[in-house]
Amino acid sequence: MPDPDEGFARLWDAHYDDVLGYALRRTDHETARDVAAETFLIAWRRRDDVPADRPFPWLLHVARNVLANEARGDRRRGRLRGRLRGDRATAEPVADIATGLTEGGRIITALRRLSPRDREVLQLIGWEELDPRDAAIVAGCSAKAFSVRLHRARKRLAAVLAELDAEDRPAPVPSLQRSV
Amino acid sequence: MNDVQETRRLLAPANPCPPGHRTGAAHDETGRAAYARITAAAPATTPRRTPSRRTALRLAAVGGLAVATAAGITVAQSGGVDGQGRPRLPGGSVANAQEVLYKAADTAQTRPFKAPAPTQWVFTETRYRRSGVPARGQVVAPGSPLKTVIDRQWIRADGTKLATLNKGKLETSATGGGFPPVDYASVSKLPRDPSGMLAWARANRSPVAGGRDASAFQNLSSLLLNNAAMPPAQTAAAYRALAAIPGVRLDRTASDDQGRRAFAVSMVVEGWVREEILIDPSTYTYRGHRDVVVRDHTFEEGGTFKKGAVESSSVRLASAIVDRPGQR
Repeated sequence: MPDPDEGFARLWDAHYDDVLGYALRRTDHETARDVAAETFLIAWRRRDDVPADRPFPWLLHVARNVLANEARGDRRRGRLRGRLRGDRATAEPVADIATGLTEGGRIITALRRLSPRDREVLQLIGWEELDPRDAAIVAGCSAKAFSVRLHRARKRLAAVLAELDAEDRPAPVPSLQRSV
Repeated sequence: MNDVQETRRLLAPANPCPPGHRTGAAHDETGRAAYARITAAAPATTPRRTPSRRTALRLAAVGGLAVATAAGITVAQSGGVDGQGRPRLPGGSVANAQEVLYKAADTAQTRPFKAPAPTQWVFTETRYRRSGVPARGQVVAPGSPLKTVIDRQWIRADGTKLATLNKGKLETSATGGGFPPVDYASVSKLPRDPSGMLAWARANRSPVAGGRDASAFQNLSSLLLNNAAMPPAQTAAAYRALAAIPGVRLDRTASDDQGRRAFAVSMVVEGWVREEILIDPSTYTYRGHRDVVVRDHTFEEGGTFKKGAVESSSVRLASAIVDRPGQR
């Protein structure tokens, strides 16, 4: 006889690592473990809401909200402050210099300059490697709206990368031509 | 899909935790401890039991949050008279799903309702019966045993906390958001009109529901299941939104898992499940749900549901607005 607990065990086996990965990309290791556990606790309590066929986007949507709650929560404010990766517009200069040498660092710096919403859209596609349909569930919008957001976010990312390249280059010689 | 490929190409070198990096964490020491702690939480370990006399009494207060008597009167009156001037028996003469849903909406709006304060808690006691999802090679068929759990939970009205009992001990955690919302603060922000509510339910589309109408039905069903306390406007809007979904059916002779009569308003979702919303035929309040398999279905992983099997059902046993978690 199938047992509801077996269903949960399979959910755990199939998705725990990926839910943890999602959290690790966004916060420190210790908090990520808490976020993953909290996400599965909610899944355990709300088993009737977990879509049987494709539970992963649902789990990530919960993880996303747990993470947002953690960031907002009073209890952990002290511990979490500054631990959410790339969620602040101004990153520590030291970190920027250290990471600025690599291509990854350049992208991280660019992501930090984008709005949280743009960043989320890009990360769900680029880091979690979800397809837009699943990513839309995580972000809590329609697939159509998500595709539009993705397109715009990618364009803004390209613009910021160009901006960074311009900053890296020595100041150009002022041009005599002026646009009116 | 240009955006997708380009985004992946750009972001890959910056991925702080590339796919596959944490493989095995589900079963390392921390993972195993978390699993044990979670599955030890109340729902799965609560022994099966029949409602006590006290539960049965509290059952009278279901949905109306201790105003069921008033609700009963309202409904009897709204039954009115039929074409020949004979008084209608409550629920005896409903023609279709829309009529049942409209009555449920009217009832929700005429029933006295007191909103919880943000610091108060909504207590809900629900009995679930579930078949569980069959593992590879397993089959759930009509008559397969169902596991019964009594779920007792308290959700703070402001949506910040969720409390459940674990072996008699109260445990508090975050609600985690999720969809649909399960807290009073969030549901009171939902559209107050049927078309707005329907648009909201359709917009949050599930990829597996089988179309936007099935998806909307599932969302509204889950909204009703998870929210014993919802403002009258949103409750009514949810019922009227359901009435506006094409293909919603009525079974006048349905029954809940205790054999009590109920109206079942239903729709086939995900292509293989008939999702039923159970409505009390005399008070027109929410009673619970039932998911019945209408077509054999085998999951990618290999488990099978046979036509006619009950996948899950629930009955709301009690609900109340209380000052502290643990209070009933």
